[in-house]
Amino acid sequence: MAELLLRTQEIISRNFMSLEFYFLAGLLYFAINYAIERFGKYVERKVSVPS
Amino acid sequence: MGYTLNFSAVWRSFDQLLWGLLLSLELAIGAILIGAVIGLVTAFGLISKSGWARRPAALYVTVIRNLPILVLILFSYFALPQMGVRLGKIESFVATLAIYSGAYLAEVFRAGLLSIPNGLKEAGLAIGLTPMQIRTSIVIPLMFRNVLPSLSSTLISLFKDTSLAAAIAVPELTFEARKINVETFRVVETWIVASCLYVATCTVLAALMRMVERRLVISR
Repeated sequence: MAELLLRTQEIISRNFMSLEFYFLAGLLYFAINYAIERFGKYVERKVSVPS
Repeated sequence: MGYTLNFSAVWRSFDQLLWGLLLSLELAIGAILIGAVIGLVTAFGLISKSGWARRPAALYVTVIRNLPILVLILFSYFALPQMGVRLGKIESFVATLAIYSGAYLAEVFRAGLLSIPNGLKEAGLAIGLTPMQIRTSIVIPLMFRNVLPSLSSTLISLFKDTSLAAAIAVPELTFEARKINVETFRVVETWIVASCLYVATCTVLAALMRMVERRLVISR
């Protein structure tokens, strides 16, 4: 399955720039997951019952 | 289905699978022990009133929890040597899993620390204990007892994560299973046996954790 990590490994196997491309892949994963986490917290705040 | 199961090829290499399982357990235990220390320090940082302790701890947990462990494993083994940090594959994997487990265990321990009533800490102060003595004699033992159920599932999850070490050719259970698979072409049988070994080990780990929970339970 050609997902982000496999694509990254393919690029690294062509140019051997593992540090830069693993860092970039990590950054992309982080950005997506962090956005999901923030969205989850936003929904949590919106639906929470005021005490 | 025209497929006939034949386990004989897998049984011949069963000792390889057992050695792989042993290495998986060693990797998990090593990483979890280091990770528990990191997690405990981070958990105290997370609940600290000082921003200097809280912010780095929160940043560490946020960054590590939002990165896939496979990216961390590949980064530490293939990319870090370019920065001059050279570790063997086992050391690199244990370090990565320890850092990864530290972030998850920090959250587990933080929940445990927040569940300790303030009255117990005040009681410690009243009998003349120092803040460090209160932490080591009251807070940490009680916290461990409170977090045992969630600690158990985190530990099992981390044990299963050792299968990712196969990505950097650490000869643990998944790597050995893949090797037998390639050598014998008994794909179904090999993965059935490897899965059974994982299930059996996780069941034993869960039973051990439940036993510890029962031993430490406070009768109410």
